[in-house]
Amino acid sequence: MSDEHGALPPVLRRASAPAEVQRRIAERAFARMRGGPSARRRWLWGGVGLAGAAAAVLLVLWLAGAWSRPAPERPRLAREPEKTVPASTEWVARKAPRAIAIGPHRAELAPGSGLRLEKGTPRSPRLRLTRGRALFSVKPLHEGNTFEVQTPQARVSVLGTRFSVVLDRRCTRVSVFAGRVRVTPARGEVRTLEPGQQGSFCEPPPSELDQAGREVRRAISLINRGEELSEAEAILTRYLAGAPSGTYAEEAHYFLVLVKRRLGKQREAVAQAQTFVERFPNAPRAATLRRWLEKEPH
Amino acid sequence: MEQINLLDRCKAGDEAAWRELFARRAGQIYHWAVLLGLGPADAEDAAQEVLVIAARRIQSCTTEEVMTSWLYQITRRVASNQRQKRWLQRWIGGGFTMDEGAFVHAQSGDRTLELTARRCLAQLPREQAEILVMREVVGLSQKDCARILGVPQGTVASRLRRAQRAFRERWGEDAPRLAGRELEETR
Repeated sequence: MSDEHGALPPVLRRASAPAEVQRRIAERAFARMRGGPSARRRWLWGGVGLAGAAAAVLLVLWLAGAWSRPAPERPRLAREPEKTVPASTEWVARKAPRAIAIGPHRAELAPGSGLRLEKGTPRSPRLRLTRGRALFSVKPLHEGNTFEVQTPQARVSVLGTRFSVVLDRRCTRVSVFAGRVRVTPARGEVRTLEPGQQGSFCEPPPSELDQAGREVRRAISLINRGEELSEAEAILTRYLAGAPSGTYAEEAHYFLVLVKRRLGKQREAVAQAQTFVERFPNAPRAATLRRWLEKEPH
Repeated sequence: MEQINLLDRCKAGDEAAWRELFARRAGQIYHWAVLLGLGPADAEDAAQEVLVIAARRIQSCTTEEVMTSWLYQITRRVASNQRQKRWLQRWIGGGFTMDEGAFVHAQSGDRTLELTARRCLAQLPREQAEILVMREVVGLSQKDCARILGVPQGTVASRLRRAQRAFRERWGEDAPRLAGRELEETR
């Protein structure tokens, strides 16, 4: 016997449990997992039950004594307001997994995960998975309600009930276990995933992203210097055609408005500004463009 | 489009996946528990307990590749708890008793060899027996062993060498009493 082959004889390594024992272990463990009580738990719950019954008898006796005396009048309490979850609430699972209720829905966060309620209400939420992995169980949605999970790479909208979202450094992996889910990636086509399917939605590799970023920055620099405006317009138009929801989409849209104005393409600039305001209504530049559109004769 | 693996299906609460996982792993965990010094009945209870704990904490198992070491860590803790519960029994009973019906074998002579090997293993100090089981039966890497035991990798290597030497010495003493193909294979 050499060190490479180990010291233990093969008979010990390949020994196997009797099939009956294996089956029994698996079945009993499965029954316990589904909530069937073990013998020890039955005893424990039996004890708890007895203690509960004794407490109930004592309570009844005490109440019987209390009712024989006139009870002081109690002030009526106002009904507690319904608990609401304020927007931008963030749930974080640090070392242990964490289960959270979002209205009637449920999410389970793996350790090291974060989830934020960005918009909407708990019944119709838009959530953002800030890091890690989460498993969602969504109750059937009423008409008009939505359930969306946003990551940097994709938006996952629920058409069904049970799915998980895993956020890596550059990718979002969506697995569907029941129902259907529609995924709108930041780049590329909308996809619908069926039960048992998994899809990965990744950012482009850094070189490609940097290339696009460099191009957009070059166009902005040309516009700021007032040089080769047609070239800048062509670069931005090309970028938006390739990546309508890309990382630099907001910049490209805005500077396309500016360059079109400078090139004297007033009508196209107005249309572009309207598109910007519709797509990025909360962006600081949207306010500037709104003011400009109000002044601009159409 | 990829298909979802067994671990992800379990995490999603798929009952068929859980049944499959339990059926696959029950025997393996029982095997580890017996080699960690539990009798067949205790090993069976321990294996059940391990699977139930695994089901409760499945979210902390990241990939299928690490599942073996993850399950072994749970088994190790559960086996240690079981041993603590049995201390009084052992004290009253005294000495080491070997349960014969823990495993099934294809060949008739294997049982004697297995019992002798288990006896030799049980006579080793606990940490030596455990390192042998981790490296040679569970198949964990030196790095995984070091992480689980909380010791440097060099310690794992030296402990393993000592354990192998000690086991061979004991096995060598018992070997002359044994006969058969298996013995020839292992010497």
